[in-house]
Amino acid sequence: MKAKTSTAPGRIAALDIGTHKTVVLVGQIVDRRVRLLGFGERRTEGVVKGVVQDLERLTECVHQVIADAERSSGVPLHDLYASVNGPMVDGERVKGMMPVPGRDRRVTAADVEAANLSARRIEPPPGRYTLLYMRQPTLLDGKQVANPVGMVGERLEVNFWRVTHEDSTLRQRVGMINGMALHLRDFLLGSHAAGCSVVSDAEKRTGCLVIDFGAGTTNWILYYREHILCAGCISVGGEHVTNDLCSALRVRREFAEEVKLRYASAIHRPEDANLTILKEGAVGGDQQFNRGTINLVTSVRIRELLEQVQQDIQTRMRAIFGRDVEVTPALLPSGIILTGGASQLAGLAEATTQVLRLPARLGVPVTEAEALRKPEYACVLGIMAAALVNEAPPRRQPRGIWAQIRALFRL
Amino acid sequence: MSAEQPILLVGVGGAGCALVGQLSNTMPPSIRTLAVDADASSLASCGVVDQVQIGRAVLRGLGAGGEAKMGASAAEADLAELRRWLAGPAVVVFVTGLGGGVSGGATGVLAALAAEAGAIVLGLVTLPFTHEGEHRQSSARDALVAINLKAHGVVVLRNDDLLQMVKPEAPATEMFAETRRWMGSALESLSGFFAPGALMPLDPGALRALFPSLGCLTIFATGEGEGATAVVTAARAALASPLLPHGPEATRVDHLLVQVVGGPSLTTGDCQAAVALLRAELGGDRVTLLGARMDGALEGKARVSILGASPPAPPGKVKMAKGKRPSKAALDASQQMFGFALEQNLRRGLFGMAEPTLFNGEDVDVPTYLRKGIRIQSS
Repeated sequence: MKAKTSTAPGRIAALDIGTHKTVVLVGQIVDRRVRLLGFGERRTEGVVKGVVQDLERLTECVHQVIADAERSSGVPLHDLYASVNGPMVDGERVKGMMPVPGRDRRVTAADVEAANLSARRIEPPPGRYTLLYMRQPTLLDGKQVANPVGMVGERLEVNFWRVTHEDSTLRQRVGMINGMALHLRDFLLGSHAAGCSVVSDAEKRTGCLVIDFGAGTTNWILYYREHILCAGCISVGGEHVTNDLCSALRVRREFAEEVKLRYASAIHRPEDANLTILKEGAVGGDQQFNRGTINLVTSVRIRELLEQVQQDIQTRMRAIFGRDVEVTPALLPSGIILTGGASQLAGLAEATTQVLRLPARLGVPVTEAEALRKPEYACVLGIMAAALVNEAPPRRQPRGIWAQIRALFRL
Repeated sequence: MSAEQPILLVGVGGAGCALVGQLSNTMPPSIRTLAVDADASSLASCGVVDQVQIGRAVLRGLGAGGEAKMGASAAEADLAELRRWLAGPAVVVFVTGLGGGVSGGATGVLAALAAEAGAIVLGLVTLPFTHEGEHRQSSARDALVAINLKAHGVVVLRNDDLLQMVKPEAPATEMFAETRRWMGSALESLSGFFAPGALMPLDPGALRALFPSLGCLTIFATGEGEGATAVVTAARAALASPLLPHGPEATRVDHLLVQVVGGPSLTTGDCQAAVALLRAELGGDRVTLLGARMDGALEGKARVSILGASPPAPPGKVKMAKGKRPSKAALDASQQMFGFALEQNLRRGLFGMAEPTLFNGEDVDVPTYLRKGIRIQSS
């Protein structure tokens, strides 16, 4: 297919394919801020637990969403930014070391570049493609420095959180977007995008954990001292709560979904057993459901999910530091920020605090568009925010890919 | 193996033999029993008169030690004797507790023999508790796939679900009693095909219509009710039974057998209402069979049991990656996966067709409350 001409300057589009729904936002950069032009949203087809099960149906769905966004904004799209999330995405810390050469042991820009290159030389695991390098603290003789250039030391160490994606599924995704005659500007890590839209810079500086509760997967990212310390994904989401309710109440999916949204709570209290909800039935007559049952089923699932997140964090911290590191309020003074569509479950913040022993709050994205001020749009709005940093006229001309990447993820 | 006993009930492995031994006291006359195990001591204590000790030469009177391969080779060592037993009956029902070596290895061999001899082969199997560990779980899953392919229908009882049936403070014996009750009523509904003097008798040949091919997806549930609308109440109780696998979309079956046992006041109108309710919930669009029997002891009460089956989709319908010609091996694999997916479908609900997500060896797509044995009040 013939590629279209490039997009008008300052216009950006963001695509977020979730298990539940696919959203495209179109915006125009005005005065270093994004003004929303249009919006497309549809129920995702062919994705289960963040994994594509039916590429044809998904492609058609994404195509329609893009067409919707073009119609709503009145402008044709030529390129876009997209998020990656889910079990196909993985990450690890990679390290680049460099003895500082020269008699005066003064670090030059070339030394930093050489250290970066040595980190980049570390091969990703077989069958995986390196998608992103996100900057982590730079150490000079074991001490953290913001910019080592010009400083004196013996050993320079740079760290990155390297995001890798399963090779074949990434090709599918790129192929799908290219197949619509759209140019893919860049991929962004979905949980980081969500973090960008619901967490302030100050919170990132002090340290916080963002948990993005999606329909099919739960993605988390841990910020510590302005950097991404680690990130992970658990293949359990809001649909699991629906499924559990289907099984426990013996009802169809639609009704279970409604029960989840309207009545379910992540906290189970003994007095819930006294409350019932009624469903009008056709063949079998009316049915009554106990709130205690609903909340018990929901709370045990959510508790288990949060314990899985906790375990995943501990495993990744052990891989980074080589020892057990407790996630304490001292490490994360800004606590936990919950976002994503499934985070709207009643009592989720309280349950999170109980399991992870950190204060938790719901994170709602800040935006001019009132309709988008919901946790489920955190990711797509975050892509816009991150893209804005990328698109904004640089103060200095970026010299190479490294500088560009660093500019993109400047926190 | 006479014409009066067209059903042969075979207990395989330690748990299967013990269950058959306990069930034999309350068995309808049309059912004959047989115990098959490698472990001499389990055979000695099970109380079943007819026994076959397999693999004497291989295992020397001991069990298979959890190795399905050993269980299979033990059965293969005594094929001639087993074939003699399995040649006669019209229906062969295997009762076994999966997770062990003999149950996992020998049941598949026995099922293949019975199917070869022309019998309708069914399995009543239990799956281990999640807390019994990943090894037992995975060997039980593998064995279930193997048996599914060789039997007409396999009814699965998950031990995890029993935790929903009995109170946490109840003694462990109650759990086993519940298993016996469940298996007993499954056998009762099967023997209904051969029981004389039923109000609405079932044709033994119709059992073939219920299970037309190997590898059917099978469900079974039973419920009791009393009062003026006892039959409908019982049907509703059967639908609500925690032992009936229930997902949001997958509970529908093509073939349905409804067996109603009621007191002297049982009416055909009651039966009709119950069948209408069950068909609305479960399907049975292609074949619905209804059997009714009177039991003098059930005055004012009724018992309804449901046996449902869906034949597997032909392999051609399995969707393959575009542009790839499926090899025979791939087709076989997809068939196997499909058979497994069907069984899994029911419990994993929305995630039936997706790859299971394992966390610490547990399939986290299965509802948490079931895996952790947290008892919920039935609504």
